[in-house]
Amino acid sequence: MTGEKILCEGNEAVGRGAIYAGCKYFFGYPITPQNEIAEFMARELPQIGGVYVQPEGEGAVAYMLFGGALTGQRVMTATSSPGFSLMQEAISHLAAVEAPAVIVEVMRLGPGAGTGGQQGQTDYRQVTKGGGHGAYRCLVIAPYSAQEIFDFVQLAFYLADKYRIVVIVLTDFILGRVAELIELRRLDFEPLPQKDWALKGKAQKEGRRSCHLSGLVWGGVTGYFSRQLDKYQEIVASETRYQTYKTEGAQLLLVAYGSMARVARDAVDRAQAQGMKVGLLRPITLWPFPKRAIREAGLAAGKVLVVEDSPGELVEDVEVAVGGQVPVHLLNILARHIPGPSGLIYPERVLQEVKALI
Amino acid sequence: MSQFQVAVAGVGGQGALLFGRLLAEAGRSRYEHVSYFPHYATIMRGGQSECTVIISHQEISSPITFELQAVIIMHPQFVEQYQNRVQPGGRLFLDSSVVPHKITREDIEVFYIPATKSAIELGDDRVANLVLLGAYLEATKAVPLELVEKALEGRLRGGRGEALLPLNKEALRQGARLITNYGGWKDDQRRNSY
Repeated sequence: MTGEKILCEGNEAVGRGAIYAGCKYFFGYPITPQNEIAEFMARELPQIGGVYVQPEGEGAVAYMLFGGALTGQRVMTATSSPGFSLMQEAISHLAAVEAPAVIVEVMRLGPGAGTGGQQGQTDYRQVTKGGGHGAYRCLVIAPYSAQEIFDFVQLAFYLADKYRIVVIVLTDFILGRVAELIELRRLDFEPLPQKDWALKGKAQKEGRRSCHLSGLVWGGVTGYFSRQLDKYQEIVASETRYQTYKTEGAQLLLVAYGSMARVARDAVDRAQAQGMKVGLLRPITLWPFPKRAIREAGLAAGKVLVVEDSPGELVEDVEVAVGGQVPVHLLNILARHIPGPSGLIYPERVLQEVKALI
Repeated sequence: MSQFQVAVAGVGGQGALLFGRLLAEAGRSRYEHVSYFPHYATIMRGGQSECTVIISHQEISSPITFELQAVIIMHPQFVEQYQNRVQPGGRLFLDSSVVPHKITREDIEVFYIPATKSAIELGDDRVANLVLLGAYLEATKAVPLELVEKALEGRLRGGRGEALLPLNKEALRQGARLITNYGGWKDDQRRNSY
């Protein structure tokens, strides 16, 4: 069945996807460039019996997410880079007790206060390697269109519940702002196990008291971490996602994610039209990272060009993936065409780099 | 044509983004793929405000691109940079009431449109963006003007802005007329003199 199609910006697609996934509880604190998400949820959730709460800051938001997740309800927040940094402590606690939650991170450029909300992909390392303490993992999904944002937010809730893990949906200024036609459709997933760990109150627990404590490592150090490792291994085996585009016979492999994968894809089209054998591999999950696929496609092509709107973070994972067997080039934030509110990396600049390398 | 691309550059408050949004909304009933990218500084008024719209029968690889088929310049500060963003053979539209420049590129078609002056004559300088949109539609035939009127109705009907609907529609039609009767740069200089 095909659903209604609407012209929808990425940020609004986040809210719509969440509601389609059955999320009724959203905690948020304003920050550009994700404000449209909170605005949408604040408007829509009360109409479906849900709740939008805006506390005094991102730290409180993340602890509300923690509390909400432990009741077994589908909960979400959205933020941007500085706000995401403020949430790290609570995310570590969420990870400690394996509470499922979805966090949408709409990246803005740079460290500190950044640029007040301009385009950038400068949180890759923080998001994929964990910004909080304690060697935990978050599953990270990187959509590259408004439709994918809508779909992957639904997927994020499913994966969060399936693995009892925090899932981060990573977008940026471009993806949050770009309006495209999306089909409103409910995605079907496999049935999920009962949340027998959820806190429901004594009345619903036959008078038994239950609690979750993020202050201890249950089952001893090795027991706890071996359970985590088993789970992470299963995620790596089952949930690694990527997409290849025109990689057949490619002599140069582009690797890019999110908005830059759109730009790189355009450059691939232009290069192919001029007879150059160039393809794109786009990681969809940033953790788990499609290491093997990148190694195989990279080795087949003989050289790799990473395109990212950052000084260079994704490139480190790509270098590890190919293990020094083929050269890995980088087109980074310095490739921005500067005029305009903050400058952008355009497909023309990527094409120029492709021509220089092929 | 199977695809239309346009960038609109103005300063916050001029309605560059509304130009793009209306075109995207109108384009969706004629094209399978639409993208609208508003790019602006975190300043409400006076900051740089730019948007890119692509309407297409094929999938849109990237919603951002440097060179486009058409560029609209609403403020003099953008002339230097944005005239280079027009593809050879493409079209450049200037609000000649506020942009005094004469473009020297000979590989593109330039339309000097007295948008702000026309808007003032219609009763409100804030509809200069719609004069330019009307001109763009008439020159490119990207979508019928009526579809943009429908998009406007969708936004304004039943709201506080409903009374402004006739003015907005008239601005679109005035823009289209300026293309129908277009007389080139010299004629435009005459039009813009008070």
